[in-house]
Amino acid sequence: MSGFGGRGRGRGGGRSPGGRGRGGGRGGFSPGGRGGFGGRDGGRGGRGGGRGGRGGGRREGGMRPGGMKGGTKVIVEPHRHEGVFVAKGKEDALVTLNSTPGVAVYGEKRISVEVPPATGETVATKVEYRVWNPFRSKIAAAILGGVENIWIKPGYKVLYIGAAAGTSVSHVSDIVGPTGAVYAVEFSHRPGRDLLGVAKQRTNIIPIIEDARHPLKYRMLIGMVDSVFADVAQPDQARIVALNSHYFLKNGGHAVIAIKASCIDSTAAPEAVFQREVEKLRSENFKPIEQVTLEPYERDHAVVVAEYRPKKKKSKE
Amino acid sequence: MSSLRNAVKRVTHKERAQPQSRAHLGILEKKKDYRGRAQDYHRKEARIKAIQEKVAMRNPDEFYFGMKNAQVLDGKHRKTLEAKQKEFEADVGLDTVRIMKTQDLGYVRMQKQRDAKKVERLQSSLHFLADNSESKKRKHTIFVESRQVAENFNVAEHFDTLPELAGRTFNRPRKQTVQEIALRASGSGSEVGEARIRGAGYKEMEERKERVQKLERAEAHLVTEKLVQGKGRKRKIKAAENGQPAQYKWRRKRQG
Repeated sequence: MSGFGGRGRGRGGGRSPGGRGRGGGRGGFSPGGRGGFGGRDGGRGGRGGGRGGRGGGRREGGMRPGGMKGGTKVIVEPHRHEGVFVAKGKEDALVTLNSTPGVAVYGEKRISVEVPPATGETVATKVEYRVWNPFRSKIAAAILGGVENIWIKPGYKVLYIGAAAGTSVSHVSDIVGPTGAVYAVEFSHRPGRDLLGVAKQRTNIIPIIEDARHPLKYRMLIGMVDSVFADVAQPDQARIVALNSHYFLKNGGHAVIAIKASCIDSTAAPEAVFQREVEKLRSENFKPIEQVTLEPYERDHAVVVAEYRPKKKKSKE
Repeated sequence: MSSLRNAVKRVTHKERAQPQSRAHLGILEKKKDYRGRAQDYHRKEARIKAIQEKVAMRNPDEFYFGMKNAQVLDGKHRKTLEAKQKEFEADVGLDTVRIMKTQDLGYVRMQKQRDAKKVERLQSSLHFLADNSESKKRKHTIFVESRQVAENFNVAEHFDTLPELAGRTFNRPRKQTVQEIALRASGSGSEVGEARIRGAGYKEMEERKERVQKLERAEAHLVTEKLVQGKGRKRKIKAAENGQPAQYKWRRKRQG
């Protein structure tokens, strides 16, 4: 950089990826001063990583190849639930493995990570993860809330009632993988249109634009499923889940239900509403396993996990 | 000719200067200077006398608007902010004021939206994995078969994880997974750096959230002001308090 003093080319996007890289340096002053702008978000070009002045973004100017998004070090550790991961780096996020690399479904952030070559191979491969926002998805919120089992696994067939625009559905589809399937039921046409768009890219999603109160209408589309997830926010939610479970859920399968207390009874205390819903499930041959409230992400919401027609073996032993 | 002679003869007039010994008193005062000084003195004297007279003749029971519109701030007599504002508004005219207020409202709304959007963007990748005050409200209920099972309940055993990971709600890996992939040893240089960056992200998010709240409040004030200036008979039903604007009730009137 020429000795212009000051900040040199702080905002310029046109730095060569090699060379001095994002370290930048500060115009004509001592080279090791502060890392300069950038360094926070690799390879973005445009704004060089935003506000240099506020700290956070500093890093001694080392040579790193200009990477993809998330070029800063991200460490992805596997989560308790298969197919779910936790990314720690600049972000602090729940992620799933993107089954359609390079495509974001609803504008979510993607993180690509280089996997060191396996034994016998020489080329490092890249895998891409998609950030799963718990503020938008109740399953994600329940996972971060520490639920013991979400009953969504690779190879599972999942009936997803209340799919909306398919944002959460896309993550469920990531988890179940090519051998599983997600039957996404949504009644309303407008979000249903987006859902169809998502299903076009992901072959393991079967979109169904029908009223979940009438499972007879779509019975020919669905086989037996391993679990049912419902996020319908309707007063007769438990009945809807039971009805669908009677048709499609295998014995010993599981139902995971997101309950929004104010949608069922806005006058009662949320705790009481959750309890009443659990009771309703019991009367429909479900055995409740656990219940988590979704506190930092949603207010007065809970996710209830229940087993359908549990096998009676245990009691005999 | 005579004029020329006179000109030649004339001696240059020399003004007396301050003697060296009295130089510390400044330049020597002449009559002209004295007159100016005296006049000024007497003018001030007359002014003080007039004011004193006014004070002496003042009726203590009488109301003056100055009592309301002015105040003593830091020992100085000043107009209050409201009075100044009113004066300014009278100066620029009602229409201009209305336009300016609309612009204010627009600006506040724009800033609020911008911050809200930024919060959303930050939130999408910062998921409060570590506990915070909100997550303490979370309640996790596990339904068990009998009272006996409940009494002997062991969290780590139930979740099939290591006892030290049992409290880590966001990820309690199963024992098997822990063995397969040794979790990163914490405290390594890079992790500390990343944690710092993350911390900055969380801090920025908090600050922006606070700002959104403040801007929302400012917006409420501006909107109230605008409505109050509009048409219709209204009365105040609640004074402004806790930073919230005053509440008004309009008389119902059929339109058109």
